Amino acid sequence: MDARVDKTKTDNLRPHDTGHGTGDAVRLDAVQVTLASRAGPVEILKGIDVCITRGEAVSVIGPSGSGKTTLLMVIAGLEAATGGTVHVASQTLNGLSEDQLAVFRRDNIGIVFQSFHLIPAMTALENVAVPLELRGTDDAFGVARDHLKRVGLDHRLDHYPGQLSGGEQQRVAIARALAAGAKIILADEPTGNLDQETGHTIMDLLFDLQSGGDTTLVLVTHDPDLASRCSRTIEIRDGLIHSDSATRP
Amino acid sequence: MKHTVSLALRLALRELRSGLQGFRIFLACLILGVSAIAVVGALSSALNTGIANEGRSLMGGDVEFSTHYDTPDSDQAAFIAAAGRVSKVATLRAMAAVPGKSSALVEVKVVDDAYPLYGRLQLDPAIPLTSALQPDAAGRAGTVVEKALLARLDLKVGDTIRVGNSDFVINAAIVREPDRISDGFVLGPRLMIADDTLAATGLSRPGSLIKWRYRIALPSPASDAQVKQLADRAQPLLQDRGWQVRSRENAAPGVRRFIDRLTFFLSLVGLTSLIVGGVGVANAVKAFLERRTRNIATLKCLGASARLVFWTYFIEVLIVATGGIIIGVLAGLATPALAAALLSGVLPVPVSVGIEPWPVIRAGLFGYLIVIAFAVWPRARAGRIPPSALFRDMLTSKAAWPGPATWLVIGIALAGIFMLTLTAFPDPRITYGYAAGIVASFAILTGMARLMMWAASRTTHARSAVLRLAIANLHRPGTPTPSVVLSLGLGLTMFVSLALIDSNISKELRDNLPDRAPSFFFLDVHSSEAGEFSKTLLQSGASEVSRAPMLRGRIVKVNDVAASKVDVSADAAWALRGDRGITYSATAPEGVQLTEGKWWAPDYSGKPLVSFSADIAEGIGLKLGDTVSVNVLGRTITAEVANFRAVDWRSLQINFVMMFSPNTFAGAPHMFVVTAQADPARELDILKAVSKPYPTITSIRVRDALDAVNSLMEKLITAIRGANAVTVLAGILVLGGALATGLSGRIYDAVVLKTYGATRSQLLRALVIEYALLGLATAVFAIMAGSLSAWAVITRILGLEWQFTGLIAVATAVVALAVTVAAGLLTTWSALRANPARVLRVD
Repeated sequence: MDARVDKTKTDNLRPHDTGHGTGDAVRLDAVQVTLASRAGPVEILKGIDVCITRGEAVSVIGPSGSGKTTLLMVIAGLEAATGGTVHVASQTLNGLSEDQLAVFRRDNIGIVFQSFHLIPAMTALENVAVPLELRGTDDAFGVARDHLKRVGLDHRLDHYPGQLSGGEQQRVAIARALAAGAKIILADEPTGNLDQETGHTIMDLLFDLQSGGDTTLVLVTHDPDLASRCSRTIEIRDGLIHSDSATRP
Repeated sequence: MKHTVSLALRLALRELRSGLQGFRIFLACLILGVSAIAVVGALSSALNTGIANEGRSLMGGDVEFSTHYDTPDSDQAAFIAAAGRVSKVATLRAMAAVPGKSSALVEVKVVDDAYPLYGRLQLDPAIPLTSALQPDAAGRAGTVVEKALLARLDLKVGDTIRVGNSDFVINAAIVREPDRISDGFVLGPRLMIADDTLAATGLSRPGSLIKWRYRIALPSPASDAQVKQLADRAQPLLQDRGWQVRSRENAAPGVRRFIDRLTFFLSLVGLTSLIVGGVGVANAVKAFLERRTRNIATLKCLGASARLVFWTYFIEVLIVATGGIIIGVLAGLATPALAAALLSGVLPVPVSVGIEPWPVIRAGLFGYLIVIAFAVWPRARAGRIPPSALFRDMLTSKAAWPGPATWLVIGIALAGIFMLTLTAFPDPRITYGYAAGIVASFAILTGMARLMMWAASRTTHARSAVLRLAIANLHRPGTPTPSVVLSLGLGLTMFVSLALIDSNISKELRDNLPDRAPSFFFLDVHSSEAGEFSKTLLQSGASEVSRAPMLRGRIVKVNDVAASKVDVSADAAWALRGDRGITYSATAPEGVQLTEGKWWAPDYSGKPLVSFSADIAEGIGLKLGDTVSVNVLGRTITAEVANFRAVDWRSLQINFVMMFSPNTFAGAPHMFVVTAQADPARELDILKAVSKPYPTITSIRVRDALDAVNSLMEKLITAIRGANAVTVLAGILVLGGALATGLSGRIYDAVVLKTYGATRSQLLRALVIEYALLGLATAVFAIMAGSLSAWAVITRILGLEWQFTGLIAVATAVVALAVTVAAGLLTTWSALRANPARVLRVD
């Protein structure tokens, strides 16, 4: 019941006509993020313009501190842009409340973090079921079980994160990101905490799951090999887009 | 071992450089509990020392022999005269009147020239007492009165006042009367007259209720042994013949009983606060440990043994605890001086300003023992966690069970707490009951928490995600359910218990004026005037006038066993303690209900028979046919118990513990006590109507008498409310600590849930349901356990009638529940407001 009430709120959000066409999964116009710090305001993103179409797999690369993760957070609605406009999944995120953003993520976004960010007090099955439960999905645990099976963890359903290896935890995180049927998958260094072999396995899994439909993947990584597996690469330096393979001559 | 401890000390001091963050609740619990015990103990000790130091001036002598019958025989008179310097004082109640205007009940003290033997009577103006009491040129005797009487009758020094049949000139106001407190319970302001003026007042007639006191000053300096020796010597000649013998160390028995009872009660609350605080200590240590996980893991990886880790953090906790205990102890040390400075006008007895070491040391010891008992467990578990597990997720690493040494230390600490409690409470049975109650509460609450977690883990089919989230939070690894149930359960139990005690005492105060209670008691009504007096009362508007003969008597033996040696229950002890009003009657009074035995024939003339109040008889252990020896007017009469009567003491009708067959007192001089009912609006008119024609009859308005009793009880209630405030504070601190223990985990969970679409309202509802479930379960326990402990305090300790007020219990629990949910939400509010990006980036 609780989740359904929230769904009506999101329905109210849907009519936003961004005027940017229906093919765009993500469109950022002159996005800026400035954070306050003791030493004064710090400009993280200084005016990002980017458009990602549906079904595209995009890697975001760049040196540490260049603004890659912030870009991802802005797309997820976890960080508010201090300037410019953010359109994701046909919605304008600027000005949405915290709860509206939560509902937006629930219905559209799946995120995979470098540190997995599973809830330690929940079993693997519960972690995957949570977004489904929040949506009010009838058979949340059945769907969660299916997704864990797809990532090869049907024998680890009742294990807590602390009882799983890093690779297993990341597979749970991927199952969680995809279980609710997210149209956009955001992955922040998903192999950063894994050894090379496990990392490869995880990425194979992620690309397999993404390539099946019109799911969009935005992947932040330091790994050039990993980046090259995406159809498009955006390089960020010092808060600006340094290069974008889509626009490269 | 030495090396380990010294290294641990160095490491602990290094750890402490990072400040006391995380120890705030730990310190607050400790300071609150230790201060409460230290302050109560020190104040009580200072008051008792004050009474002991000032005993002889508070009582007016080293030893006092008192009787209601002022005709010591020659042996007794010779004994008294030879005992030391003597002052003879009489106390009685009488009416002081401004003829034609108003009158007031006064506590008359009749003094001789030697008064006061000790201490100084302060008068305003500062003139000697002897000259103040001397007759003036017109032959009118002098008097000195308390200022309260001047205010009540609108008089000033120099005015005339009528007492009994005599007029007195008020020559001074009493500022301070050194032995005021030795009278015990007082109903009116003091009025002092000289002994040679008493006869003329007409107040001293055979059978009048006058207490004669012979105070003895031994040659100075008299040791306690000499005082005791004199008191012992007086036993066969005086005490065994109905006199009361009191020595200076027992100068104010009533006040002392009150202080002891209050001390006991407040110590009980203080100790419970400290034990509840102990749960807070355990929670705080556990939380502190969780924050130090990485440090511990690092130390262990670098080769630190479990023993070193244990000692490092145990020493750190002890250092911090010492700071808190010192603050509590300082509060205790400062109490006597502060009380003397701030409360000297309020307290009825002098406060000794000296340092009271024992109560303060005891409070400090309690503090350390509580810390050891509650902090050793989590510490020991930390020591036994393998380093690999420390680097992994704490929630899933199963901590090892502490070893036997830990159990031994906890056992010793608990035994120490028990032994100290034995010294804190006067009756070991109370300590046993208290300890059993605490142990049972811990066991039941822990069991309840486990049961809740078990039930929650099996409740997987809830439809709503929010409900499922709330239920799951109750049993997940790392859940604060056990510590919240324990701290909330103990805190709520104390709160409900104190609220019920408060309501029972308040109810006692409110309801102790029954519907059919008389409005007046008239004392010292002579048999010759009783009929006319009753008529006057009826004519002036009073109704239901009834009277009974009244004498004063003291039980000296029960079945040939001295009264002081009779094994008597606490609620019946008062009947053996001093003089009691007694009466006789040819027939059973109207409406009386005999529970056993028969009433004597109206013309009965055999050996003396007595009808005994059934409840008191049960307390003394009397059976039909037993004998009771009573000293009345200097004569000891032995009567056989003929029947038992049901007496409702709360009815405030004329009730007597003992009613004798009329032949028992044939020819003995005595007075009557008369009661009358009146419309409250007419009470003053009735008083005026009888005060002029009957100046020697003492009128007591029941309303005034009850007010005097109530003011004493109100002090007790104030103390209970103060104690309640301490409890609430302790409870909130501990609960806050328990909730804060898992706060960082909750913030993390909330952020991840928000990332995957949870709204704040969903998270809020889950928290409310979780806290409400916790609160509800503990409230049910608290209502039951709180009622049980309140019942024990009301009936077993205070000796009052118990009435369960379900509404109060439930309302208290509901309010506390609301506070719990609010406190829980307040504590975890930051979890709901946490900025996801910040938290996710940090990790």
